[in-house]
Amino acid sequence: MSWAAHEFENFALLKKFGVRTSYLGLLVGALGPDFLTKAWTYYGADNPAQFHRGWPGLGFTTSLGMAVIAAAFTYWVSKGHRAWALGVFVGWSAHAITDMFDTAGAMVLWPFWWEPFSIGMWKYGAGQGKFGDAVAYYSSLGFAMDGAALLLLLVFAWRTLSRDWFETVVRPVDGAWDWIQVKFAMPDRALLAFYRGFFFYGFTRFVSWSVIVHAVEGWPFDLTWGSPFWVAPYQPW
Amino acid sequence: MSETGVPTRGGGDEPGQPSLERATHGSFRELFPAEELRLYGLGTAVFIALALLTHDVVLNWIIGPLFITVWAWYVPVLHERWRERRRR
Repeated sequence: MSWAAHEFENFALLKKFGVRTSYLGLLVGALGPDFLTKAWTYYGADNPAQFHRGWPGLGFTTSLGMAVIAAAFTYWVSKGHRAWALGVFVGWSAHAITDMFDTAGAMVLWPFWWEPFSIGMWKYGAGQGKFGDAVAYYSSLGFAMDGAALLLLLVFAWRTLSRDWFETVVRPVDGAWDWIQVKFAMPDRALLAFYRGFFFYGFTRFVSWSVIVHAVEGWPFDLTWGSPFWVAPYQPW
Repeated sequence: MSETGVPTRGGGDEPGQPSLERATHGSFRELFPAEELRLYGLGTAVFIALALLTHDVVLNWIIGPLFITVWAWYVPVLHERWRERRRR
């Protein structure tokens, strides 16, 4: 699975889909697959990989098919808000595609194809528990994935983090921002910080986990394909 | 200013600069770019320090975004009050 890359990709996607897409919808879509599965994956599942990414399990939630279902549901609930529906679809799809990079892969073509697709760049580590997963991810090419996503965002889509972009592109698409501001009597700077919140979270998560794993706990880097070496090879269910 | 007490949108003379009214309006005051950079930089340092002290307790998708929202909301207010007190 990817960690901070999920937070960074939303802002990069805004660069492409901004005028048609609700950022809040994108966020809901990006969080959706893990929201439905993550707690059980770490704390309840006998076979975390199968439960999270396979079948039988909840692997179908990380798929393009589920992105369509979630977008259709959003369209219905929001009484035809296209920007929200498109946002949920794009965010959910991006999450599913990014999750293909680890060894467990994702059932991206569900319901037409029930097997996970995997690129196998780094080992799926949820079976190690949350801390072990963080150690595995930030020691492997997952670390490089987060770093590359951050770099690409800052080079090619940094404008999406600016106040100007928020006021002229993000906010006009979605009336929810005005509602949030009025409901909580938020000053503009707090609303802008709320918009930037997941970038902040992704950045601090990337830096903090990297420091904890390598400087505090002393784990080595293993930036080879299918790393890290200390996580047992992934066993298909 | 709208009827709800929430400032309405509208920039200053230069792009990216708040209007004079918004830049001086108490707790709703908008920040100049340099102030904003300092605010976010300090917020990032504080949150990373908290994360290192607590490991994964604060590193979650609820606390992280809420932290920076509350930080950007109230730290300038507290700073302003502190400066007022010092002036007196």
